[in-house]
Amino acid sequence: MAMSRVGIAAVALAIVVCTTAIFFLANSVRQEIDALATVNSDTTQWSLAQTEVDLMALQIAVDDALIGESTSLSDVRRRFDIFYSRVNTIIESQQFAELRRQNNSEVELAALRDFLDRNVSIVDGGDEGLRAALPALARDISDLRTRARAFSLSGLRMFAAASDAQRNAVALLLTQIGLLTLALVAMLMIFVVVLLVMIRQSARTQRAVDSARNRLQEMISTSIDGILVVGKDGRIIDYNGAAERIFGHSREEALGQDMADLIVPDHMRKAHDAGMQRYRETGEMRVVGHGLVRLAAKRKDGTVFPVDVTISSASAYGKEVFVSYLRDVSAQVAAEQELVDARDKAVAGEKAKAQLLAVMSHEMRTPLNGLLGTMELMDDTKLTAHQRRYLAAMNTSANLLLHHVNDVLSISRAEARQLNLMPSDIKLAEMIDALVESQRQSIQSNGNTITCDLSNGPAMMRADRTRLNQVILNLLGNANKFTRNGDIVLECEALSDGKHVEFRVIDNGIGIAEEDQEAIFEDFRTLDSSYGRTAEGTGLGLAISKRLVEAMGGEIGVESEAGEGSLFWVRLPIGVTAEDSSPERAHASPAGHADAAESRPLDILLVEDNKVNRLVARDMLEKGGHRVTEAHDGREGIHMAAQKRYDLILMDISMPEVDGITATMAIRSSDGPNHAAPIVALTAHALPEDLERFKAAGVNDTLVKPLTRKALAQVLGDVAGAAQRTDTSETEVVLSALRAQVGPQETLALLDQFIAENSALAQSLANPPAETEARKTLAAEAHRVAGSAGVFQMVALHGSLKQVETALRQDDTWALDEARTAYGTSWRETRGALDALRERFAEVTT
Amino acid sequence: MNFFRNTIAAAILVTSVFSPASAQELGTPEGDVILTVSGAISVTNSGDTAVFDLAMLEALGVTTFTTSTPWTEGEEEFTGVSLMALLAALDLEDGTLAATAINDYAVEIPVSDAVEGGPIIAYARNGEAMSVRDKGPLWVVYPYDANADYQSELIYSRSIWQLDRIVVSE
Repeated sequence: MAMSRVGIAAVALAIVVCTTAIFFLANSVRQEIDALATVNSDTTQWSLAQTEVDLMALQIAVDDALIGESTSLSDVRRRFDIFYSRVNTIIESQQFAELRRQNNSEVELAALRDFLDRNVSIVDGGDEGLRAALPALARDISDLRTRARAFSLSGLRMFAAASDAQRNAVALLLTQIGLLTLALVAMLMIFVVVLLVMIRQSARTQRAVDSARNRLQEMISTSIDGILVVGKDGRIIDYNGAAERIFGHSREEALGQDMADLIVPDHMRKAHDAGMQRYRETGEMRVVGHGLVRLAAKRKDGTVFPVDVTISSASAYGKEVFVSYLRDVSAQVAAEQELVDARDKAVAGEKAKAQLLAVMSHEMRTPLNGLLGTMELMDDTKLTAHQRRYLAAMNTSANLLLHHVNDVLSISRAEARQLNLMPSDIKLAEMIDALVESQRQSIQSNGNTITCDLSNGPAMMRADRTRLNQVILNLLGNANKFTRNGDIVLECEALSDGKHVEFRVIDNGIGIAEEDQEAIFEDFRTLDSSYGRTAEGTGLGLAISKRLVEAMGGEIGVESEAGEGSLFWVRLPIGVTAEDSSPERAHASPAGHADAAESRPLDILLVEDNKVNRLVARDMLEKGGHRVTEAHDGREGIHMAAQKRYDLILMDISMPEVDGITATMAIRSSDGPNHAAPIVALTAHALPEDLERFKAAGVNDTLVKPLTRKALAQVLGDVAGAAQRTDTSETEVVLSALRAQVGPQETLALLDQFIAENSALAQSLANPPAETEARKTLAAEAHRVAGSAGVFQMVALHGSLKQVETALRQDDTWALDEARTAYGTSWRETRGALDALRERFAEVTT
Repeated sequence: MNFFRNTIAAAILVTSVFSPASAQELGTPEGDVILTVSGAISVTNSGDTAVFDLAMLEALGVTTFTTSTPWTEGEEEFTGVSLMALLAALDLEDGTLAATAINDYAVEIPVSDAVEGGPIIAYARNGEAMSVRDKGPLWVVYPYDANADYQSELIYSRSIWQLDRIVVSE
């Protein structure tokens, strides 16, 4: 289209140019013809010929006069005058200008003029003179006739040539006009062709537009969505069939009506009018052109229902119109509401279930605590063989029940993403040995054997020891559960990527059918009734394991064949162990003190409001040889902690009035003897956020009820270990020796200096320098202080100082963070003991 | 139409009783006769011809214009009696004038050429009477410059000089 438009313009321009050229040429032709008429005229040529005639008339007049008639003289004069006038005309007239310039003509003309000049005075003179001169005049005329003839002939030749040239010029012009006319005709024909093409094109376009319009009309009338076209004044211009169905107004009723009257619900009328007003005033559109909007609309019967609307503005016939697509979404909205309701109900139900599970398991654990505790105590009393068997059975059942309750609790915690991982370095061989050893009894009782292959595994890994234990125990337990008189193999292998370790528990038991292999990792899954019979369990073990493994960043899976056995595998990241980053550390740190410490009797303050629990705990502790002081509530606990120093405070959390947390905070913030003493919380509910809260309050560790001897022993071991780490008896020996050698004042000064050095170092390490040089300086300082610690026989402090020194020298920030934390703990623990020692020593000295 | 024009002409005649150009009073020449009109004329003063001396022509009304001509150099001022005035004096409204010169050049001039702003019969050029040697005594001159229509061969041919007689035919 554009092309042909350019073409038309070009052709039109060419036609204009041609027409103009033809016009000018035609004008030229006219001028040429005019010129022909003017210049090369008959009168001119007649004038030339007449020169000769006039001369002859003069000659005749002269001849007549010579014959002798007197009247003839005036005739001579008249004829002379006429000839004179003729020659003068030729000399003056511009018609003869060209001729006058001709060489020979000039000569002839001069001769003619000479003749006139010669004779004019004679003619003008008296009759006598003229008559006397007549014979001479006759001869003169006779001579002149030849010249006059030659002159007129040369003039004729010249005018003939001129008119010939002019004719040629006209012919050329006519030819040019002809050619231009031909070109003009050709262009007109091209123009016609282009016009024809355009007409055809436009007809095609028209057909396409027509069919598009028909299609559009069809689309609008068959559209499922209601379509409303509304003018700027709010009147409905178009209204399709779907809109009739949606709103109930027929097209005839709707057309020309104010849309607001028709479909805008009364309660939205004000907002609508305001919006229209705003648009008219400012042109601002909030709904139009903003995509899908959900609005309310009104039907003919007045019911209000939700619609999805898109409105766009368009211009039609130069006027702005709004095109709205409306869809009745009542059903969809209702369905959505139903879904939301159903989901809310489901979520509420789920929440209630989880709450019930948590509360139930908690509520169950408290009485179980009592049962298990008393059974342990009963075990120590004198019993008959029968009673002891019954007690064992009770104990088994109660433990199983506790196990199930714990399972349920862990799953609900895991569900709430409350797994709190505490990674530590694990020596795999050690851990697995202990684990297998603990299971050996039950494995053997099923007639199974167990083999461990750790040869391809890493020596160390970093993971949450408890969780890892739990997972592998679960797998071993399962293997044992579903295998009779078979072999169980536990393998550990470092994977080739060097970053993961894989544990495999393999049995040749009953196996799992392929279709069930996915399902076994689901909650509450026991495969069938036969399973139920052969193995008891909540069916939560693998579900919990899966969650734990995933929380640790690993994967768990199974390969199995029914009747052939199963292979459960767990892949976990090895993690970065301190062993890797600081090989010296293992040697530097003091090892294996817990066992030795367990036998050491401790002063323990037990803060517990429940009488049974108090009884159980006290009994267990005293059996371990420890001294127990009881406080019956939080307030009493705070009071008693202020009286004397204890090696350990066991603090129940939920107590009336002053609870364990408040009491712990009070003790920690006091300047009493126990402000730094280890405090272990006792609680039945130990959600991770609770543990955080306890820790923040100053609790060192948490024991989850029911109390068991084993758990208690471990905590006591840790405390005793710490106590041993801060055991100053060796130091005391060194000090005594020193005093003997250098005197009491000097010894005291040395001790003070040692304390000051440590304080200063601890302060420096709180914000360790980043520069290598400063670190080297600090390493030297740590080395010196470590030397002193060695001298004073403070093994733990010495070890942690050596770690700090190594980390500083190696410029290893990560190791430094570990080491300075360890040193900080060690120094805090030691500091209290040293202060006490110094006090005692000072007393003795003075 | 003709009737109408005649009526107007009659009216003019009535109102111009004292006009020296009145047809009925051509007068008689006192000087040399320089123009003789003969043929189909009703107004005469010498037998069946009308004869004019210079004074009589001057008495018919003087018209002067300046124009260039193909036969002269530059612009010239021509003074004479307009053909229209002459024919009015002769009461001629149509027909043809056969004009003849002393040199026997002859040409036909239609009476329709006698219009306002049309040709004159000049008797003076640049204020001076014209001799025979200078295309006198009378020269029919059209105002060629004033009207491009007069720049044609036909008109040039009608521009007769050394005019001395006119024969009128119907």
